[in-house]
Amino acid sequence: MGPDAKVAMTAPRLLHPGAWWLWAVALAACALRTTNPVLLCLIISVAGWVVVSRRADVPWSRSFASFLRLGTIVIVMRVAFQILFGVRVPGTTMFTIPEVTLPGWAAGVSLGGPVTIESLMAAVYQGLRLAAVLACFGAATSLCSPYRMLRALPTVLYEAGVAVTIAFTFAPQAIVSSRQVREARRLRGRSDRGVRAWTASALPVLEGALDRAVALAASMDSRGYGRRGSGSPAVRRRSIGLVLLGLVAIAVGSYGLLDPGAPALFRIPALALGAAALLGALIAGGKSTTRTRYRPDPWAAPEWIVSMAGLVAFGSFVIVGRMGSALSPSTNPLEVPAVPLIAVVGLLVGTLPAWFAPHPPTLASTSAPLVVAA
Amino acid sequence: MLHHKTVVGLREVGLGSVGGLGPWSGRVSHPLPVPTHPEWPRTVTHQPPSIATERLQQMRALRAMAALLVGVVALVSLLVGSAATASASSCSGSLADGEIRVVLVVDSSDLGGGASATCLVVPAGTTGSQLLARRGSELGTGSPRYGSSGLLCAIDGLPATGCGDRSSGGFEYWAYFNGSSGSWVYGNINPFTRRLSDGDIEGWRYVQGAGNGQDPPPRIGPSRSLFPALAPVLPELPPVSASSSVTAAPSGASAAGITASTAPAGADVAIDPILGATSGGSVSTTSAVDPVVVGDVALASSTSSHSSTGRWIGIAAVFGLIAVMAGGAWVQTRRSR
Repeated sequence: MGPDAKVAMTAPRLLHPGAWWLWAVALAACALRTTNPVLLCLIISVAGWVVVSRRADVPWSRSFASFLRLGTIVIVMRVAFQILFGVRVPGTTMFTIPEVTLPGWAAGVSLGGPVTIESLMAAVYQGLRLAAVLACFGAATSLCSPYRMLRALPTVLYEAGVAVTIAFTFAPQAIVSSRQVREARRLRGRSDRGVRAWTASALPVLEGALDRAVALAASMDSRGYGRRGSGSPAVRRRSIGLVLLGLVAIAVGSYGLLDPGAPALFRIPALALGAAALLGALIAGGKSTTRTRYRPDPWAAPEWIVSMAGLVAFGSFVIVGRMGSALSPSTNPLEVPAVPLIAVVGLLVGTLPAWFAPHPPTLASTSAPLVVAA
Repeated sequence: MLHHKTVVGLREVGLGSVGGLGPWSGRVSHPLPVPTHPEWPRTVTHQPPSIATERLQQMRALRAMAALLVGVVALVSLLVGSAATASASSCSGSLADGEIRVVLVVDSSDLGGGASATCLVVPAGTTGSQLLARRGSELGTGSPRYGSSGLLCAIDGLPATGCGDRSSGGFEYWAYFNGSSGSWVYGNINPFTRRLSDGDIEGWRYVQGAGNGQDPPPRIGPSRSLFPALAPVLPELPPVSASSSVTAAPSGASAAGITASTAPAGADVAIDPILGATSGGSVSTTSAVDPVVVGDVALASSTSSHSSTGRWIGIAAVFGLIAVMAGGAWVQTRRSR
């Protein structure tokens, strides 16, 4: 650990954003592997517990509640779509809505018809899964500063700097933007609740968030992010090609890893190819540029604990997935979902960051800057 | 031989019994204690929303989510584990008003199950999937298993795992056929919405194929002779006398060979396959179907042996844990306010 060893376990500081994201992505990967409602509820509450315990007092740390609300909307929408357009699933009919008979070439598509409890439960399970993934994403957004996340990104990703900046900062910026729009509405004496307020403020919020993200990208660009230095065009082209290849391969590989039904070629091999390409880009580009970091975030014991807690939870889900069908309880026939003990224990390990991650510094303490670039 | 009124396993569940569905419709939009602002254009002394208000909102969102989840659990608990009751008329007897006679061919030869044709009397308007469920309850082979997408995964517990999985030869799935025209026609319609009419012949075959009309149809042809009352001659099977109609089970008690007799009435010697196999040949006359069966039907008992009580205890434990966490989070937000 070298110089990091002097970083105390308990001193208030901001955890390395990579650790939080690793933990959150691992929890989200758990959620993607299961439709078990019990486990999904547990994932959401684990994420919420850690957020409540370890978030800093900054604007984006309030985003978790917004993501929970979004998750609720997702569930409602999923159920509504199932009732209206979903594939008609046999089972116990709860109620029947008027059915539109579609022509023969549209076989397989249904509009209306009998709604069974089995189809509704399947819709709720799937909506809950998406809500859990959103909660994990919201946890990562609330727990770490998007600016520090950008700083911690590997050098090769600077090539894709603008896109990466917008991708990582859009959600927290949208939260900040929506607060401002609501404030503005209140100042003008208008209501900030209800459907009308929602529709009236949706566009300004999205626009404001995108503007902020783009402005951030531009300011980072002007400060030298994404610059290749004095490298020759040939070298630059080669490294850009490698970065593109690496990013695409990693995207394919992570989808393969998340979807247990994907062909084996799209899992580890794709990830390995992507990592190799990015490493190649790093080596090719690294010759031409020297880059220094101002006050780099340390990766010390708490970072290890946080990221390992997430990985242990994910590992427990992989094991349970191999052992049986407890991760995907049958909805047809409807059955009581089993609670696999290993997965529960794994998720409880996932709550360890609530105790082992350092407290974030308060605004009063000046030892660590909260906002690095704004 | 039983002619009482038919009630097929379509159980109407009133909306009142699923009160757990409610929470997400009403609980999400709480009126927040927003301070009422002075009327425009008076001077506005603006107060930024306090952290306490924000936290309160957050806790409200958490609570709404918790209420939703509790609703889900309540819904599951209300609806899981209840069984439908059914009784039936005989296929070879006369039909009551509003009843139809349908033959269902199930071919699981590729899974070692054999092919069978079963004649069933069901109410008019029964769907293809209701027919399958009815056959399972009549033969005692369990209800068919469906995936969450509604895809039919297993009939008679075959295959035990998997659902429409990809294999070297394409997809392994239950292909749906309609034989009412005298030859098998690949069905690309949803059995749940397809309504049957009198004299229909439905077919299911477990195939390995591309998932289109080229996939092979069931091995039993969709002949009119499958209806016992119309043509009581058994297809492709040497007649077996009623006294020896229970043949030895090829693979233990889980499988039994079933035949029907050549008697024109048919129904009098119908044999309950499960009773025949387990109680050593005591001929049951309670079976209301006339199973005209070709080959062996593997009676893989698909009744799950897990106790749902244990599962409920596990679920209660996990939700207790979640409640503890939510309470702890609440205390934490209160304290840091």
